[in-house]
Amino acid sequence: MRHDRRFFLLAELVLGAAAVAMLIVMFSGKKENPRAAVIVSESDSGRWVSFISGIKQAAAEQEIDLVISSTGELTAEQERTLIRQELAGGADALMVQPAPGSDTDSMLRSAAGSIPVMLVVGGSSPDADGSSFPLTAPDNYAMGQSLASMILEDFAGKPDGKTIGIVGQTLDTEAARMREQGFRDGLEGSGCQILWTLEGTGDDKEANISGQARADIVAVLDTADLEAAGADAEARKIHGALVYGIGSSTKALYFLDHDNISGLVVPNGFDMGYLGFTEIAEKLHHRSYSMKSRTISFRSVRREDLFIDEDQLLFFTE
Amino acid sequence: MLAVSLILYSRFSGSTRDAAIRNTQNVMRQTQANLEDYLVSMRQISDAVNFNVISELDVSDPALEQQLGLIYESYKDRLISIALYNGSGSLLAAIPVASQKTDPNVTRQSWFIAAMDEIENMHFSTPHVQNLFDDSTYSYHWVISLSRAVDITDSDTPGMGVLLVDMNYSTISQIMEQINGDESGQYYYLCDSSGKIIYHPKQVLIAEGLADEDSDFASMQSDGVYRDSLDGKNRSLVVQTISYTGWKLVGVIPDSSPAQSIVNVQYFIILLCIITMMLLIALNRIVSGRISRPILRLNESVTAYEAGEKPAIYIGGSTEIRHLGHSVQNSYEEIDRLMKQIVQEQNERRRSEAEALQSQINPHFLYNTLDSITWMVEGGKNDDAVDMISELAKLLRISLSKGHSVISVRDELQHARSYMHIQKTRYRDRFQMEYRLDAGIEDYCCVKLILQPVLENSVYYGVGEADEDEGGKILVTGRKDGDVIVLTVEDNGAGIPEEMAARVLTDDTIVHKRGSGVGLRNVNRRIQLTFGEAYGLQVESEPDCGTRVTISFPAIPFTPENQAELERGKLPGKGGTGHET
Repeated sequence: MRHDRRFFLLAELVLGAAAVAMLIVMFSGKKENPRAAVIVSESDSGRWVSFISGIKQAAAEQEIDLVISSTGELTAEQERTLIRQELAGGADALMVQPAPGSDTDSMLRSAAGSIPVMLVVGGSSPDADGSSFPLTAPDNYAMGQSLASMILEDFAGKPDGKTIGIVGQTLDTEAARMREQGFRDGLEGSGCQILWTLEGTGDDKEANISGQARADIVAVLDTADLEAAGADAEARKIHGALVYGIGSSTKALYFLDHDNISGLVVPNGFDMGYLGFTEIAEKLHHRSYSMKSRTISFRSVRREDLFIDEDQLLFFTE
Repeated sequence: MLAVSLILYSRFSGSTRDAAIRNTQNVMRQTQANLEDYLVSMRQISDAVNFNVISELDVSDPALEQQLGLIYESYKDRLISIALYNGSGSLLAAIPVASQKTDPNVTRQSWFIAAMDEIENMHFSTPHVQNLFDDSTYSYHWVISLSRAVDITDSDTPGMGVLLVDMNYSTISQIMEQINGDESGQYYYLCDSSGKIIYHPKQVLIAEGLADEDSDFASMQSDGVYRDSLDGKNRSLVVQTISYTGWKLVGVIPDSSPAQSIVNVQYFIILLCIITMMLLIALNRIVSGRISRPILRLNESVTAYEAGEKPAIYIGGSTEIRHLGHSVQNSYEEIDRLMKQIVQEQNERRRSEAEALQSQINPHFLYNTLDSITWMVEGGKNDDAVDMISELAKLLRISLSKGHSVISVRDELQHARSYMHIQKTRYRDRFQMEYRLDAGIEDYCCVKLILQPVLENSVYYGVGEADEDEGGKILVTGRKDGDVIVLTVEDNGAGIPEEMAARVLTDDTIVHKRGSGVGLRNVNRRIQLTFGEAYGLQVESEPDCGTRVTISFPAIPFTPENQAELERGKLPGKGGTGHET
């Protein structure tokens, strides 16, 4: 009898707890979506169009509220302040392009605390490869190699005696170093001569390219400089040099379309946004999930490739 | 309950799915109307340009571009450009004015080819990036091209050209975005008649191979609702055709994306099942408790009773249990009563036997008798003394009977004779004794010492005080009346008052002044204890007339077995088997 009573009480208790849990679930309403903030330098720039399209797609699928901070050119201090503002505004995760001059890891740790952070690298980002945070970025070395291949293809594999100038905003970063290394390794044994290498920051670059010795080919390793080189080529300021570059922006495509750039290696900005944000979303939905770094694809593009139906979506993402 | 819940849920989910499909159809009807309005307006623009401008003006006339400009201004929120090409692909006019790209390969562009291939129709292209004009803002526009072959007049020379109206794709994408964004997983897309996607919320993912869509299937269906499966997930497709273009507007309702209402119903059904189970368990416990508790309490009280406690037997519960309880209680009370009765009877038997035993060695009688013997011996009446001693010996021997309480009628009669012989010696001729005994009654069982007390009463209270000439007489008769032995002791002595006669067998406060003190009540009780209530003594008396005492008991043959049975308190049966008295 006692045994029956105990079993009865236990059964009623378990069922009662289940009923209470169900009531809580029923009346708790829809949970608020988690919120993620995206901080990239010059967020309104054309080079982020595909990237932002990708993160918007991922945010819609994963039911994450998205905030894209409107920024100009960011310094490390400005980025730190912005991160803190977003966190104060309720951000549960961050997607960050590390600003130049920042000690990425320590700055992010002190600013972001324990919330999930995904780094994205877009051309002129400083060192992020050695970071302990996950990173979504293209294979920079392979892109450099691909750029070299395009040049060799255009010269039927034998650009003997051709001179090349290399332009990169901050060539002492790991990303830029890898691109340059890949490019140089790709040209090894081709007979090309690297005439000069330009690095540094800011607006001096425009003057510097035209101020350099005339090269047959100018290889540009980042988007901003590529746009500048394209403009220089359009303005006939680079002595007829053929411009090849690594970059992703509508402006760069425009210059390619108008023959001011001969060949482009375009990293998949949409994938960078979509895949990187999907990692963040997984972490937000499943606390035990460990975010992974993602390597995104790239395409070698020439003018005639621009308006192929299947590829237009990838190049001209709205 | 579970089955009912599942059936209800199934019906509800089916109804919800049907409602979702109807809702989707409603949304799609509205969207279809919006898209058709838009496309119709584009056609109207194209018609207006063709019939009101191109047909009326020479392409070399500057007014042509002005007219085009007016039309463009009216619809510039929807248009990217209006352009007129000749049959060779050369640009004749364009609004807004813009420089054409060098070598746009117009004649190889699909809109031009379609227009020239089917000159009677208007052709809507799928969305694409406009590849015709330079844009100094470094921008590219997604457009849907409406192209048609037109008759042109170029410097008074008729010819064929192509009118291109590039619509802003964002108008269509905005219409579609408004109906997408449902968090339940439902979505809408647009494809052309060959399955090529015009708008899809995951268009880029599909282009990159990160997502799938079976637009080929949808593009082949006429308007209606279809079942489909993609990547192992079942879904419903609602297909509607957009007029003028043959485009298909497709609504996709995955089976795995229930509306919030059906999710709430699922929760509600689960909650209902849980609450019902709780209630059923509680009700089951109450009902079974109401049934079993009275039985258990009855059992507990019976167990306690059996363990030697004296609890009240539980009376409660249903009618049957109450009846059971009453029965058990009555049974126990009856057992109790019978046991008490048995104990009482045993006690009485022991007391009676003790009393009878006491009478066997009544000192007064013995003393008097011995005194008489002494007197006889002193008087030289040795023969009388011997005779009396002999009778005394017989009396004592039968009194003892080796401890038996049941003897034969013969021995009882002998005991009575011996007693009366001794008494007659003492009382000389004050009374006479007569024995009338039927033959054959002597070999039946009889309780020891039943005649002697009655004879004693007759002697002491009947004829013993009478004078010799009063003719006192005591008659002892014995007969077998059916299965009953009847012995009577009758005297014609003083008699017993009526009120005393009534009490003599029941009142144990009557103190015998003389005699053994055993009394008629003792005799009656011992006979009844041995043979049953139906037997015993019957006293009839009338003062100054005499008293008659009738002794009855069953005719049980005197055998050692019957004797032993009777002494154990059992009545031997007719066949010799004993039964309880």
